[in-house]
Amino acid sequence: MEMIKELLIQLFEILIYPGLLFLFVAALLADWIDRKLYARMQNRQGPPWYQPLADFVKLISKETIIPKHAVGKHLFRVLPYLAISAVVVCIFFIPISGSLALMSFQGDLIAAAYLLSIPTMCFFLIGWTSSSPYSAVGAMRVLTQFFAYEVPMILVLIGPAIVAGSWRIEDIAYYYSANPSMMFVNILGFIVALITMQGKLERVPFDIPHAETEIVGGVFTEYSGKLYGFIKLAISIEMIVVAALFNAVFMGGSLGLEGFLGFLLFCFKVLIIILISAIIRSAMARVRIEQMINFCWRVLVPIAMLQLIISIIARAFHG
Amino acid sequence: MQNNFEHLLENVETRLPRRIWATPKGDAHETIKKLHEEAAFDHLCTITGLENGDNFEVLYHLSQKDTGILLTLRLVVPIAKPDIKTISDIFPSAVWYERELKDLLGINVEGLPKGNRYPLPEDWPQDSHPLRKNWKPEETK
Amino acid sequence: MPKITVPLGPQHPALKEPGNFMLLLEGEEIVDATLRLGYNHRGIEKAAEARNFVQATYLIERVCGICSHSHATCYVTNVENIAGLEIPQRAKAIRVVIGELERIHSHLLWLGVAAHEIGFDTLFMYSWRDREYVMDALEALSGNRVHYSMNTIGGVRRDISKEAHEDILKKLDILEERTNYYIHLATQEPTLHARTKGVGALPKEEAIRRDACGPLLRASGVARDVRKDDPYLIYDQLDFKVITSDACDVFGRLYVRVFEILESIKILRQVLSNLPEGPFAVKTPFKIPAGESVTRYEAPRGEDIHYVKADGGPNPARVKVRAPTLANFESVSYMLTGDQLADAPLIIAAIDPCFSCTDRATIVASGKQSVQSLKDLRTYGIEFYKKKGIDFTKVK
Repeated sequence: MEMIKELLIQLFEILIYPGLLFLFVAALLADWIDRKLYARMQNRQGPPWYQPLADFVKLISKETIIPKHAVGKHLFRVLPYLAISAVVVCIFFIPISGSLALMSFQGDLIAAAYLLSIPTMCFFLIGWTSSSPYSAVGAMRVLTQFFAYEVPMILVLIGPAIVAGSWRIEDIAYYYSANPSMMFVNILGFIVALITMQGKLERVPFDIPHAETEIVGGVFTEYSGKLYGFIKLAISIEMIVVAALFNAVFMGGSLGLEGFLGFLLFCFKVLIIILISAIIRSAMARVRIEQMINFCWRVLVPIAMLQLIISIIARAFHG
Repeated sequence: MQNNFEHLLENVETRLPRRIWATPKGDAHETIKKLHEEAAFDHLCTITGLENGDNFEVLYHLSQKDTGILLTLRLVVPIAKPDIKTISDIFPSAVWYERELKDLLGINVEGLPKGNRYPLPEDWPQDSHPLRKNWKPEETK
Repeated sequence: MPKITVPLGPQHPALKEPGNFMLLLEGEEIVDATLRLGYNHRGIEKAAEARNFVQATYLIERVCGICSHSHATCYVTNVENIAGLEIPQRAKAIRVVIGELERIHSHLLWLGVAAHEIGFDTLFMYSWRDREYVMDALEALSGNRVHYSMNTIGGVRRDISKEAHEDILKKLDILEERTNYYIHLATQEPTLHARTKGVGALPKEEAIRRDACGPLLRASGVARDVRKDDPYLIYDQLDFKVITSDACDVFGRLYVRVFEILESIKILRQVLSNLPEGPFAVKTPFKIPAGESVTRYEAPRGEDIHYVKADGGPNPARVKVRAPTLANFESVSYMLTGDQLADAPLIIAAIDPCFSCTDRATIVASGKQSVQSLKDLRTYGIEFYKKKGIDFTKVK
């Protein structure tokens, strides 16, 4: 009996909360909030709340066309699912409503960062297998951009780990809940993280891989129907997961609150991250790829290094 | 109006202020080259082609910045032998106007650089020129 | 690195109208660009020969959706020259008013399109919202938002009333404030600078050699403007500056266009505060005598030139339209070569291309198509909206 109960709970956790269904709903809602905020900032009306769901249902019901000249047809079909499963697995390491994550082990911060880079790799391969000129250029841009933002992003994720003295996301969140004042040590890193997030999620000013006025749909040009719907969903879920990760690592997770209150706090903080992202998106123009690389390596990486030094010093004094 | 280019022209006529109409004295290409180099006509506005009786008329509209003069140089070529020389070596933008003459009227432009057709599509018949007076559109049903 | 050819168009999100640019890429750098135009060739020049002089006015107006007044004014001036008509001062002033409002409308539209090309959608939305003020003013004056149909041979078709006059002045105040905001934005926003400075370089000598015109030429430091060099209508009595920039890049083109909006507002205030009294049209002669005329006009995009020949018959014998975009295309392949792929849409947009203007004129002899009469369509439209609860028959 105990075993069945255990199994049911696990199934519930994987399929409903904080697994697939929760992520699905949260991703669509986040997508809507982002679009609505973006629209209001541009003096537009914006879509109704069910628009992302309607878009998703529409895409799912459309015919999927696989180009004749695609290099790996199986790869072409599998990649969107691979991207989506990588981000869904990633959420299991991150505490959401309470202080505990679904799964946790020493070093899961690295695992999460690793899982989050899988969708990017998938997008690169997506562009490559499509073999259309726009996708090819898009694929090159995905990879080039990846090398630019990933380094500062990982560097700033290390900072809190050093301060907290653990590579477990749970521990880091717990540490900051216990010592909220230590959060200010990482404020610089948090800013860098928010900027690199725009690159990770391929949003303005770093939406270079699918700049529609230059290379049409970029890597996704040849995708349609169900497969494209899942790609869109993967990107929306990635936004939630990245926001949740930042919440746990930089903003102290649930701050000691449990249950429903903890959940509300989580929602609130994710909203703030989406809001900041929408403000960046609406206040800027898209930059060119070489400008982005210069910016990441010449500005963000030095700041991230500085942050690392600050973290080590803080650790030495506090620890 | 004292001009330093009238010796290059014939039948000079000023109809409105700053509007001069003339025909070239001698070779059109040479005249335009001299006008460009010696008389500060540094801007080619456009080239108009039209059918007038048995002849094609090719009008080169050139302008001067400082005086605002718009000189229209008229070149008459017989329809039976519609050959003109390109002026794209003097004014690079003439390429587009000359391709238009070739496509819409069927004037042969000697020395025109290779390139895509303009403005008619690639599969348009080579001997059908819509701006000719005897060209009639097909009835649409 | 292998070279790949990326087609930009005929159908491409960056192009609002069809045109084809084959870009040969080495990595992200463009090493060669080939142009293919003519997708919008509609046979307007041929069609004009089958219409009488008055009908052709409205046909020529439809050469372009943005600079419709420019083309129509250019054409009617030619016909008036042939007929030897002297049009009243008031008509000239009204033509200037519409022309300058059209310039503001076109430049704001361009600002939005250019912002969209560099992924700055907020600026796109803002400038298009502000463009509505001009559109409303034009609608109040002419009754139409796009094809104003103000010109007729011998003058204009509508007068400017006192109320409309004050309304426009009010709108101009708002527009001036907004334009100053855009100037502030253009000089402050770092990503906008990063994307426009040094992009699509066209040195002064190349610009002259390639016969560029309009804002493209003025942004390369050449003060050439038909309104100053070869004044028409009442431009010789007005006080305005020719805006130039020595930047020779897309930023210069942005600068020139934004400041030209301010100049247009200045011109409009002068004309409206001193609108000549009298009739606004003279009677059109029944017959247009044989003759020919050529006219230049400074359209928002540059120099527009029309040639009209009359042979004494009811229809024009030849109408030639050269839109500013065609003159500027010769510079495009030069500007594209050596730049980044990311800049290609912006460089093309920076000349403010208008493919319908450029291609004008073919009667497509296609097979069967379902043609509904205008009356049927109208009834259908009314019924369609009635079902949605919108019924104009009840409006008193």
